[in-house]
Amino acid sequence: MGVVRAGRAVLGGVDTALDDGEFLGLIGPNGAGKTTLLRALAGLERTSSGEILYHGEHLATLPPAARARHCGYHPQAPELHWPLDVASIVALGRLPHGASLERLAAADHEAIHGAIERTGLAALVARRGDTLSGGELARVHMARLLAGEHRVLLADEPIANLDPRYQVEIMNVLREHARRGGAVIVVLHDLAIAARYCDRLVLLDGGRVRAAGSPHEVLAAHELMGAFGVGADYLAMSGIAGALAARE
Amino acid sequence: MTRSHAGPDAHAADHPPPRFGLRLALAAVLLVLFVAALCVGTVTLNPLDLPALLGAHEEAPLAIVVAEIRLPRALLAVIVGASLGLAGAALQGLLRNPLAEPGIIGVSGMAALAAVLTFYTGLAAASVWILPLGGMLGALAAVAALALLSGRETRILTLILAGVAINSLAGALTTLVLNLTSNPFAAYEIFFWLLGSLANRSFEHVFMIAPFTVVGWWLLLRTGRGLDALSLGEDTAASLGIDTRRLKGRVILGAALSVGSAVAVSGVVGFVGLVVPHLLRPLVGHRPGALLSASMLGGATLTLAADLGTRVPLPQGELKLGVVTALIGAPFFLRLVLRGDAR
Repeated sequence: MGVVRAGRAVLGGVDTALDDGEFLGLIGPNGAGKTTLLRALAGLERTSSGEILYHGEHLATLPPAARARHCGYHPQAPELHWPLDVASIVALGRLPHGASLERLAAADHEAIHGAIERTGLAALVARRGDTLSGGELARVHMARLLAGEHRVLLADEPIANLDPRYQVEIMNVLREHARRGGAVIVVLHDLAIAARYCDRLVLLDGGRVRAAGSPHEVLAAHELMGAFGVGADYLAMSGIAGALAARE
Repeated sequence: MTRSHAGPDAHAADHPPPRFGLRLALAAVLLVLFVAALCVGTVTLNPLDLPALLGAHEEAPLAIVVAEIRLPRALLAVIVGASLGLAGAALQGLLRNPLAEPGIIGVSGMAALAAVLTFYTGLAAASVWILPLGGMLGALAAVAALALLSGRETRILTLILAGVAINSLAGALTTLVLNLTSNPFAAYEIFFWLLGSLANRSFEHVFMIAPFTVVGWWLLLRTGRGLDALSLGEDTAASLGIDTRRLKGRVILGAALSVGSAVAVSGVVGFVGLVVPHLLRPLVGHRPGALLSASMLGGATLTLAADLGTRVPLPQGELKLGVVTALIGAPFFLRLVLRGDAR
């Protein structure tokens, strides 16, 4: 598939498949088209060529609510315009299932409760969003994503600006989703984390897939040099080599 | 709060029940004020006499005062206030800013300009529908212009400033119309109409705006889920299955219909859409969806109270409703700006 914006092809020739239970990392330099690809997969970006299929169904022909039940989307910079309480923010994840904040069914309460447990937010449910730290708020947005009970999770840099503890927590939550049979596509800038967590990596560069495969294949020195302009010494310095070795 | 036991109750505790209590309390206050609005005036009545007066068939002067003067006036205060409160809450939800108020961002101003034009051209006299239609077209033009500016790239501040500019333009053009009006009595009429008032209105005015108002309310009250989702931004709302373009269209059309028709009968009654959602927002957990019906009741309550306030006897005559709401609202506006809520 491809995406053309203002006459310029920002994404082209992307062809990949994702299985249930798979954890796919999307990496690449700034402006490579990672966010565009993720937005297209979430149905937020119109594709100019090709098609996106969810279990054999065309994304473009799915009604908005059905599409929203299939895949959950975590934007690059989550917004919170009103100081809702944590429980309400998480409950918004149930909208694709026909719920509203004023009307939640037993199944909705179940899903909200589960998401809150899995993200360790039980102590914060009554807190207002504007009184939380950045790391706590990131977990709340992650809980909102989980509450949707989507098969596919699309997360755009969910660990940007987080301290190591929250980075690990968020990645573990996503990893757990894949372990339970869901599929995860996550955009990452931290290549060592990508090496550590992802089953498969897609390296985008200039709107094209430069490399795709196992972390060992994609994080090879020549690919990094080609895409990022960094050499073999970066592999050791950034901890990528260590993360790859730990996978063995 | 302990959370050691799992079960339906524990889940319910994660999420507070809808705040019907607030809406009930507002409805009760509204009812009391409504009865007061029928009793208070130059002649003060005993509330216990109201049923007899409203049911009376004979042409008793008091019965006429209640049924043909005070009742339509109170009804209009409720309708206009509900429209302004509801539209304020919906616009704030859509634009995600507590300053988005029909009066401040030029919606009421444009509606007033269009209404004044129908007076000036004499069109208003041709048919009773021309005045509300003019008001709604003016409101629609203002909201559509703002919606065009509210694309993804536009900062909220730009939008508010654009609204202020639209308001100034509407004000300037209205003054121009006044300036060009050769008949001093017509100019006087227009000027007082602009101050906002519900005095000397009849059931004809109620029937004139009711169809448009009801459609506007219906559109706006159905935006709750979408506005709740917009709390997380446009992209996330869309990813949750909300059709954001349709949501925008609904709010724009609903606000134009309800505010436009309200302005057509009452003139400019400012700040109701600012003050009411601001006061009620913390009481509904800051949820834009729950704020809609609460602001509708709150707007009706405040406007009816303010209209009662205009009946305080002054040697110079009756105060205008728009003047009273502005006196309450302007300090509020200033407080919002100074507290930095308006970012």
